[in-house]
Amino acid sequence: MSSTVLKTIPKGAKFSTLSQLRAAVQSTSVPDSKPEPPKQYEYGALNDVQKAFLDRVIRVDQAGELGANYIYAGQYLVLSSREPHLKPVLKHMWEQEIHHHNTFNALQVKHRVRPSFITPLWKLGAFSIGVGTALIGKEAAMACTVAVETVIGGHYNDQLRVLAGKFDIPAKDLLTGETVTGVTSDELHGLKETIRTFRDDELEHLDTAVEHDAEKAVPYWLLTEAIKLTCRAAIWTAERV
Amino acid sequence: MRTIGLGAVPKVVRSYHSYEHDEDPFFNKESPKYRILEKAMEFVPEYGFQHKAILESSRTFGYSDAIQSLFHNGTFDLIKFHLVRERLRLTEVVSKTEEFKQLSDENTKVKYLVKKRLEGNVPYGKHITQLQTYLVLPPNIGEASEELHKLSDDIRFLSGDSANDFAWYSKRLSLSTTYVALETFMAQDKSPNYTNTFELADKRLSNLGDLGQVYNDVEEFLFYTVNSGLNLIKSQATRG
Ligand SMILES: [Fe+2]
Ligand SMILES: [Fe+2]
Repeated sequence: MSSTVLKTIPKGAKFSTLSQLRAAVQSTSVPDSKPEPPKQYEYGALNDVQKAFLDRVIRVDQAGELGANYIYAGQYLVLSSREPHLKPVLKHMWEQEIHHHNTFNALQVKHRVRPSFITPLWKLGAFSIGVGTALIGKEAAMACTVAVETVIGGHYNDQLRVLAGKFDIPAKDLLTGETVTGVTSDELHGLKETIRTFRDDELEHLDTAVEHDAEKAVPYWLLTEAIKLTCRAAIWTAERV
Repeated sequence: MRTIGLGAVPKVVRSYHSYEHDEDPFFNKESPKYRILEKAMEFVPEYGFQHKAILESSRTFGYSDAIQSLFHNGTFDLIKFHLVRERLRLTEVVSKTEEFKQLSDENTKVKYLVKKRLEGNVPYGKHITQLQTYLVLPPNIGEASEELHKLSDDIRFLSGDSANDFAWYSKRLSLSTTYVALETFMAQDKSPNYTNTFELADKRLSNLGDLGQVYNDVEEFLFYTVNSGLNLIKSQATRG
């Protein structure tokens, strides 16, 4: 039975929310480099440790935002009919996650970082968490957001700390020919700003969830702790695999 | 560590590509080693990937035979030089060839670059079998597959691949497999100017773009199943 169904799927057929997710993701292309202003500095090379760090940052953040995107997709699927008054709130947060996800997708392509190998698992896992918590109820869904954003916000902060402390790369001032420190390339500056903005967005999601009765989910402490643990394990894995 | 660094240690795995910070050039074109290997490649059609080609080359520069100590393993050095140089040539093709800039879709670009890479083998056509046999030997297979992956990754990137998920892997893997198959065919190809090889390349590469799509279609179907299951549960729940 199922085999006949498989055979008759027309090429490029779209059935599920997945294709909408993917379409939303793919329609935004890599921002093209603008006509460049004259260069003022020539930056030294990144060392292997710094490169490896940036590589992991982009991979794990991409996977994380993909997860967030799919969690909201799952929650939205369940709650849009059950709790219509939450629709705009969820929609707003979901759209921000799509923007986060697209941004890291573009960075991953541009900087030639390989995406996490187990992307399909992140999709399925995140979608299930979204659906699962929403099926328990809106409080559990909001508690899930609190748990996720707590871990992600902290994780972004860790990354910002390293980017601020370990990336002082000497540069050559092209006008004077002198070597200077304390200047940052647009590339690294942009990454820092992106992470900072997204961290603020995540903390805003956390506040929103608290406002929407997340704390009423106290009996679900086991659930939230489990989700936090899952997030930390996922971060560890996505950095590496 | 055995390297043919020519001024820089090759990275084990490619990571984060920067645009504003200096990237180490793989080749130091000023070094005697580079000059000798570059010249030695002119002797490869005659001698094969053998140390003798290096010997001949250093003699034309008037180097004493002591310079041979730069080369621990002539065959390895020549083959690696060939693989890396031909791969890096593709980046030049992309930035300098008007013909390439005219190409519009990703798959046509992939096809163009694979054929360019195969063209790089033409002068050494007789020795491709030697090259392939050498690369699958246990001491070399690791480095060989790494270089093969870099080739696929470069071709995908230069053709404008923007895969963000598992398709990233299937697109590279399928390209590597096809490339090896084409090169193997080329080693046996007796047609003038390897026309059969290039025809086969056209054929095989036309279906290549679909592989990422096949995977995504399967994923699509699985999500469809999960979704409809959920809708079923939902409808049952409201009825009861
Ligand atoms: Fe996010
Ligand atoms: Fe978020």
